Amino acid sequence: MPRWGLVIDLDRCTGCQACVVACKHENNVPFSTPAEATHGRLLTWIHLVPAETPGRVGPSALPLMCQHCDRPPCTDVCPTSATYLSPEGIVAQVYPRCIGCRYCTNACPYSVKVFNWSSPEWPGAMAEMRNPDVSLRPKGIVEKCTFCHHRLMLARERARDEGRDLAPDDYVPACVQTCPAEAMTFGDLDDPHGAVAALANNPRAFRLMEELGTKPKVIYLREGE
Amino acid sequence: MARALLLTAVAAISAAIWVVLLPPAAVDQPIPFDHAKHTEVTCVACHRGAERSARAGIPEVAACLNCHATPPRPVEVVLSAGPALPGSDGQKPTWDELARRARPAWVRVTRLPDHVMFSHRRHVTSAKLDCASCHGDMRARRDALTSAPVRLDMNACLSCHKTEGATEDCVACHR
Repeated sequence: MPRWGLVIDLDRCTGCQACVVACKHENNVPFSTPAEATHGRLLTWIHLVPAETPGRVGPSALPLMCQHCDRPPCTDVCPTSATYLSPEGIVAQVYPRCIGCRYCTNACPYSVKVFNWSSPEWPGAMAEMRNPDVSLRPKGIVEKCTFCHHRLMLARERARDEGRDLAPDDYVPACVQTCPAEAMTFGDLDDPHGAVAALANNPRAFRLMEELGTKPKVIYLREGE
Repeated sequence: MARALLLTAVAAISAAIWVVLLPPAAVDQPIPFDHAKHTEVTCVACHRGAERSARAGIPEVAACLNCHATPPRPVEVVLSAGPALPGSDGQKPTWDELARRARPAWVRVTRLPDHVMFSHRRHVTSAKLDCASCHGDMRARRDALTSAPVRLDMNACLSCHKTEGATEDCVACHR
């Protein structure tokens, strides 16, 4: 069984935020108003964190999304089992089970689980562009990056119809597909011949807040000082 | 106190039985469609989306015309009684025109909650599931459906998923 992981090369990332837009569009994440943003209620599953890199010219940013920890603190505190670690290593969020208690948002050391404070609304024709493969979450629950799990379902379905196994390129999240700088690589961390496993062992690789023991499956690459 | 508790318990149990056993509200269909008369064609001949998309779909009048040379009488009556079609200048539209442009207001009777992401294609094409597994024996139905023929719940889904070795991961269906 695969163990899905994502590698982000910060030396390639230009901070263009194409991944942020792609994620919102793919996962029916509604727009936030300036007022909501002012109150710290911006709804995004990925956001860019300014990252100071000494000696580096130009903007430097770190795309931050759910780190899909192998030891996720958020799942331990969920009183309804709405969030759990799936057998394939994806930290899943079952929206109909979520009661919006926000224990998980507080337990997450990366602050990447977001509570939606308002009902989803799309202006005018934008409503027609929603993705039918992803549900519309009601107000008052916690949302998060799912590694575009619905794409995995569709990819498996397609591969099965064609009578073959899932190929590495069949399933990639929207952010990875969109990144114009090709800074993101997605795949099976347990596949020793895969690109992701090789990059994860790169000397430039590091994980965020590794010292907490959360064992994230989002791995960043950056040249040391 | 005990009496009040007893009354509350009786009320709660009655409410639960009411909700569980009460049949869903019956609906009126625009055409008294007889499934039993159409057993010579497969389900997907009319519900065309079942094999290739998430939704099976409800047939348009154009689908009837694939087999029927003339409109069934109730169809013409129902459709003609509807609002004037745009561009028809108030005149009674011809059958061909109706067939092209009109859509009977079929009422969907089998519904899953919004948070269930069900794909007909996944079950019909990939898993080769018979339509009757979820919808019951439609070939015997002579009347238009006024309510869901089979009550679908998560236990039914899960028991089949367990038997067939399909995924039991929550987010496979709820996402």
